[in-house]
Amino acid sequence: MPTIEINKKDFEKLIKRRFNMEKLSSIMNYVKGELEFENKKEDNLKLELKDVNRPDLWSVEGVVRELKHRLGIKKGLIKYSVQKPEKNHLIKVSPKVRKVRPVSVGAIVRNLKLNEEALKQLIQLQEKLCINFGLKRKEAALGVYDFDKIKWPINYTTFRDNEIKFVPLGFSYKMSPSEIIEKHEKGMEYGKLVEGKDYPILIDSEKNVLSMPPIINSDYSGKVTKETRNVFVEVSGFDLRFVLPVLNIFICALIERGGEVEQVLSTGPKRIATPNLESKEILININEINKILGISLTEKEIFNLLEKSGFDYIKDKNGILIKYPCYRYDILDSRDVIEDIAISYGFNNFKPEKFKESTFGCNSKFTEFKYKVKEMMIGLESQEIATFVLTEKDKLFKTMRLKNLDVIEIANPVSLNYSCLRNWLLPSLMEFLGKNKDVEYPQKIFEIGECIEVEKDSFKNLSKLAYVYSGKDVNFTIIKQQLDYLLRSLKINYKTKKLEHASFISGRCGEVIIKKENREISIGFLGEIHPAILEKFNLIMPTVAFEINLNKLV
Amino acid sequence: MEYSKLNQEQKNIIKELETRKEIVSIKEKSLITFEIIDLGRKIIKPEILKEISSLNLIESLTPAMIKTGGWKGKKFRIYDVESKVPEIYAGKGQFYYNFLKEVRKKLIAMGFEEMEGNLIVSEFWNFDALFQPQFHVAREWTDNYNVKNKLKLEKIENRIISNVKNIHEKKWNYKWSLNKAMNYILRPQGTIMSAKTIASNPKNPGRYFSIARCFRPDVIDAKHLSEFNQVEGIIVADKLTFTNLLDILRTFAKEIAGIKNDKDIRFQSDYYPFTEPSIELDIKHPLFGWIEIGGAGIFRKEVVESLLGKNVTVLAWGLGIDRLAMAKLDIKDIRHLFTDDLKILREK
Repeated sequence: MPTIEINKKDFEKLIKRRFNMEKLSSIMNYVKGELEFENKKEDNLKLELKDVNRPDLWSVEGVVRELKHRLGIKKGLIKYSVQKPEKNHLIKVSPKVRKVRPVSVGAIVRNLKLNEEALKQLIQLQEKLCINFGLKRKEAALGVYDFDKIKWPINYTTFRDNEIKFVPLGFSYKMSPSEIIEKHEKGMEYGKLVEGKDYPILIDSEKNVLSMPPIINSDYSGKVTKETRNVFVEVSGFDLRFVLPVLNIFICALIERGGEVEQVLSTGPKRIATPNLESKEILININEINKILGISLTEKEIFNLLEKSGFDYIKDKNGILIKYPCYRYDILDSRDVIEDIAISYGFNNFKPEKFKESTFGCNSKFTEFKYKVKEMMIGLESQEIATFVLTEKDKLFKTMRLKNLDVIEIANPVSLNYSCLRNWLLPSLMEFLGKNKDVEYPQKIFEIGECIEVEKDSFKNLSKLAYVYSGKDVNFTIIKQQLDYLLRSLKINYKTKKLEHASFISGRCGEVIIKKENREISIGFLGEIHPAILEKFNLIMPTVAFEINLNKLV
Repeated sequence: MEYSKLNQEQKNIIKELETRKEIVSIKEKSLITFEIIDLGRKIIKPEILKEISSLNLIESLTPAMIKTGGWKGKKFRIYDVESKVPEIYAGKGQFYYNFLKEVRKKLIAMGFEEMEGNLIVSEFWNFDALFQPQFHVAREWTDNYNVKNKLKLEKIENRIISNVKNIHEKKWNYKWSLNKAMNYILRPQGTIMSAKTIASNPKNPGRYFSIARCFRPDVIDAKHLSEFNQVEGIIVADKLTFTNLLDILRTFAKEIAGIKNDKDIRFQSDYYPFTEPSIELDIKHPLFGWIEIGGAGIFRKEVVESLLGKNVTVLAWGLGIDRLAMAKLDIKDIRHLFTDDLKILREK
């Protein structure tokens, strides 16, 4: 979810309306935006945009364009006029870039009137497009150049490190590509995108470097200021699928700032003139609209809502042919148009209606079983606790005097405390006791929680029950009585067998065994917690515990 | 330690520490002991004095006494029925889990049937089956917890794999890779269970819900946990509408969040990769103003058709249950939902 900064005065100048903060917040719902501001008098606002498939809204120009439609200031599709390219307005793409960064396309925009805020917005849009949509400049990197300094045509080719030097933006002396990658802030950030000995370079016919895509522009032609009137915009990458949307959205934003567009030819990898700002089409059925929305809109009402969404329409014998703008890349299905219709209609103007067909609601059988167990544990005067499934290996094993077992480990943990998934519950309960040693005893606590056991290359998602009883008079008999009560109440026949388990006092620990389909299976264990563990948690009360695997009981 | 027995230097240290949080706490305790002095003996009523000092008073009634009738003709020592007694603690469910149980009850009453699933899922169910392209920013490695272990690949029906592959390649126009889809992550959202339910031929009409422990690699603070619970579900039927979805959301706002007035419920536009239209449910909280409590939408045709093989309407919803629990239980710090303080658990 990108968050953009907009200036209220700039916004109001572009949309030619004024709003109070409440109204402004509420209209932002049309662009799926949430406005954040410190106080109502503040002009610099933050707008969080929820739709990651609407990069056309990632600048104030796009937001204004959309709102003009939704507020009825402008109706229907915007028709863009684009001049055909002059013959020498050409990017000659050399076969040498094929393996490095094969695609480069561009556009020329004239007669811009850029102020401080407009420049800020364009830089922001470039950043958001290249980072969020262009996957951190890998798939799309956009550069803006002073058109009047360029001698056409432009060559897009590669150079070796010792063959070229230029002054990058932000520096005052010439540097080689490898120096830029080493020393320039952008070079350090994006240098890994041009690995190898051949550096992609955009260079004009008088050998003035425009840029080293996707890293940095040159200081000579790659600098745009308030005084710049005419610009050349270039986008490089690997695939037109990423490159063209970035170019189109950026150019459409410049048009909102008064720009006039001329196409640029590119030879790579195939001959193409860009930008193409023609509208796109999708066919939609009136019945489908009303059927899914649950209302009965007339044709005329639908047409109005389509205009409010910035679309044109042609009635067709198969339905309505929708014409939608070139900057919309989120329309993949008729449903996407229907959402726009619903947004134009206003979500809060629909009348909610009950779906009356009845269905039978229920817990899963296993959940019912777990609730039954929980009730019995509460009957044993035990307090339920909630702990985390994420933990660390030492807590599961070393603290519990055990050798490490395989558990699910996290490849990218945020903190070491939460770097694996527990395979048993008792360590969480012991930690809990350790944090409550000053609270009144006896303490009886239990948890029913999820655990993951790993065996070789497979895992089991299990629900386990663990119970600890801590107090001065506890012993093995007491814990066995409690487990016995539980299993008897659940009508489960069981027996206990001697078990050596390092978390428990030797000779005072048992394995709990039941018969299932004529086979004896182990469902858990019980015993007196080893004093060496109590010591680790600074506990002075003797403690007994059991843990059983509930999946084995159903 | 006793404050009055500290020397001046120690007292100064305590004073310093007192200004900082959660290091020392000073509690005042008074201990009163008394005995009857001679004057008391003089003024106290003779019969009471007699009773007090009498050896014939019964302290506690025993089975033997009852059996033999040994209590007859004797008096019981008088107890002070007004005095305080030591507290005891019975068993109790954890308050947050109790809240989830209440939510569960309401969902069942509304006709929802429970779905279950694993904590570990392959990316396939979390992203690909939910129509999120593999090149998408939201699929960044750092946004989810990735499993380090080499686990054997999940078995997924060939029919579903090929449907998902086809729809991705057709609509998003790229080469889909099964390999990338098979990476295991910790479940970041409950919607996976809805996707699996759709893939396994659900009832029609059908209502399903799940309460799922989910994981996100957030740094833990008062507003974020790396582990949380999500309540989500779907309604499946041939004739379902956007207005039906609004009704469900309004019912949640009233039944689960306790909103009385329709005016305090608001629907906002929203975005999810797998629903269209998508919608946000807000309620007006008396203190915090409008807060978001849930998200919903109608599952995209691309999702339903590739999982089920045909198109039915599926309404999907999810509730930010942790936030609702905090509002209901009057908890300001989200970590307290999983409190490790036994005192609080016993009292709450």
